[in-house]
Amino acid sequence: MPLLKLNDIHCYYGNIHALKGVSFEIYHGEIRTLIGANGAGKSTVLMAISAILKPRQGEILYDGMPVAGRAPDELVQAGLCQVPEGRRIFPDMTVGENLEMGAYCRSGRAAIKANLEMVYDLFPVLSKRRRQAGGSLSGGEQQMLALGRALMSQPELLLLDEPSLGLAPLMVEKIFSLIERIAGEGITILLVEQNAQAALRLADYGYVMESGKIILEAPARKLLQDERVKEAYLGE
Amino acid sequence: MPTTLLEQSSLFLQQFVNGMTLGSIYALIAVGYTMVYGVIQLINFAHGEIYMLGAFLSFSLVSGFFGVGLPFVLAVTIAVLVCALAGVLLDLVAYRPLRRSPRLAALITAIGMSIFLQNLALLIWGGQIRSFPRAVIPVFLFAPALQFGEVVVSWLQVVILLTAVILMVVLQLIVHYTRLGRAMRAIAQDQTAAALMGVNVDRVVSYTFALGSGLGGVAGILVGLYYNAVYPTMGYLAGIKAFAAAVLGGIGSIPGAILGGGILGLAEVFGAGYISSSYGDGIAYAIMILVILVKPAGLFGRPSSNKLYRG
Ligand SMILES: Nc1ncnc2c1ncn2[C@@H]1O[C@H](COP(=O)(O)OP(=O)(O)OP(=O)(O)O)[C@@H](O)[C@H]1O
Ligand SMILES: [Mg+2]
Repeated sequence: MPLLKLNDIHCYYGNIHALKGVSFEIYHGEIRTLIGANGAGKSTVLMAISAILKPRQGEILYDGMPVAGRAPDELVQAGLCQVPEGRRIFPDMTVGENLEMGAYCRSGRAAIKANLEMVYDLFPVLSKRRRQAGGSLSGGEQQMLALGRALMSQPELLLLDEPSLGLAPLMVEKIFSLIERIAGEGITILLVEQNAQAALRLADYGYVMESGKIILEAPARKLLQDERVKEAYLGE
Repeated sequence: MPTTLLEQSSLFLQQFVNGMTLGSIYALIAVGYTMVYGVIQLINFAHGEIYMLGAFLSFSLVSGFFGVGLPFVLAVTIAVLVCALAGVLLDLVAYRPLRRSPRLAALITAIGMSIFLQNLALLIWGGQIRSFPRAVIPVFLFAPALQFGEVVVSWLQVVILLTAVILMVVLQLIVHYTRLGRAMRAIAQDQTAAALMGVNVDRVVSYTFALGSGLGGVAGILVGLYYNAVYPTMGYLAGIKAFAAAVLGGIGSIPGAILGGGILGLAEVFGAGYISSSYGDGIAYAIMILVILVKPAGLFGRPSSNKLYRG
């Protein structure tokens, strides 16, 4: 059974038909990526999965259960966590408070504390800045904070929306290797990216989105070799 | 007019005390505006009516308006709790259905709810000014607590100041050190991100209304005692002034609302005392207009969190 399954999802913003029948799935322990140009509808897919947006048609199943009718916080509690586009950390909260917000749904002081130490181990720079306001961090540090915050929820499935956005090449590399480590912990990852090259190298399987539809899907290695993908997304 | 230096300075001191008393009441109301604005960017224009409700409920419960007279402390406690509940209901019935509508819709609804609640009070209690029967209020409140020369500070003023200070400290502790407070701040900074972290936004907004309305209710009770006058439209002017205080402090900022309330209370009393007693009310408007013109973000506000006053 797939951990997440989308079946013919249609989403609208007013009259704008943003998703025109999106279907895909992701299995436990996989990294799958969703690539596509600006405005293809990638973020809309993630917002629908997190129940921030309600699809007008179609069904989303998380862990075999419909997402429809559940609130975003119930999904977080069930292990589905999103790192939204643009990081969206809480700028006026300290790094420590941001991380605690990630554990908002959890109980058990000791377990949360252990999780916090794990996050600080993974991102030593956050530990150094734990009393600093989130908004004062650099872009790369904010992305790490956003990742760390999501990890504090002990997710089973992590939705990552363009984690490389606006970062210098070295930082992009660093973020991708961190994502690989997170996946190594057994967390399933759905990675939305415009940096198709990096995303496809990391992922097991890829989907290409265009104007609200998935136009191509294949194992990531195959997509890297695909002429259409090369031309449109890999700049070759 | 006072002539000697002693008379002048005791007049000044007396007005300072009176201004601080009024200011702490404005601060109590203003935090309600600012907290709600912080989480859902709505100016809850019916907040002044919650304050009026606090005054009427406490009056009714102690004076036996509803049939039985309750002991003062019990009556006041019930009044505050009912105000908190009324705030939650107000949001549930009037504002929540409009959460995804254009902001103007909720704003107009808020004005509508304010008019509705005023008229509801008129229907229940009538239009005449009610006063707390002296017999049911603890007598010490009207005795002087401090007196030097001409300057008198009544126990009621001490109680008002202390209540305001204690409640503000408690509120700051809640906002900064509890899970609820953290969720409130998260929603204020980024509602979607808060929801993605598992915050039940609707529930936190309800708690915010409860806290703000409870404090508004406390203010209403204190004013009802201080001026000994309770009437259906009392929330209108007090509400506008507290709103001005919140704007002055930077709407969305709790410390800003507290400081704004203090400044407004002092400005009003000193304005009335030194310029003309009829200028007291106008000063709140003047301050509000000045702030919006000169520093729309207010004293503590962040320009970005002040969308309502931009362009
Ligand atoms: N809040 C909104 N209101 C109206 N239209 C929107 C809104 N958000 C997105 N859209 C539209 O929906 C379509 C899909 O947007 P979406 O943000 O999902 O794309 P995306 O693939 O994530 O793009 P990007 O790579 O730029 O993040 C776009 O045409 C966009 O203009
Ligand atoms: Mg996007």
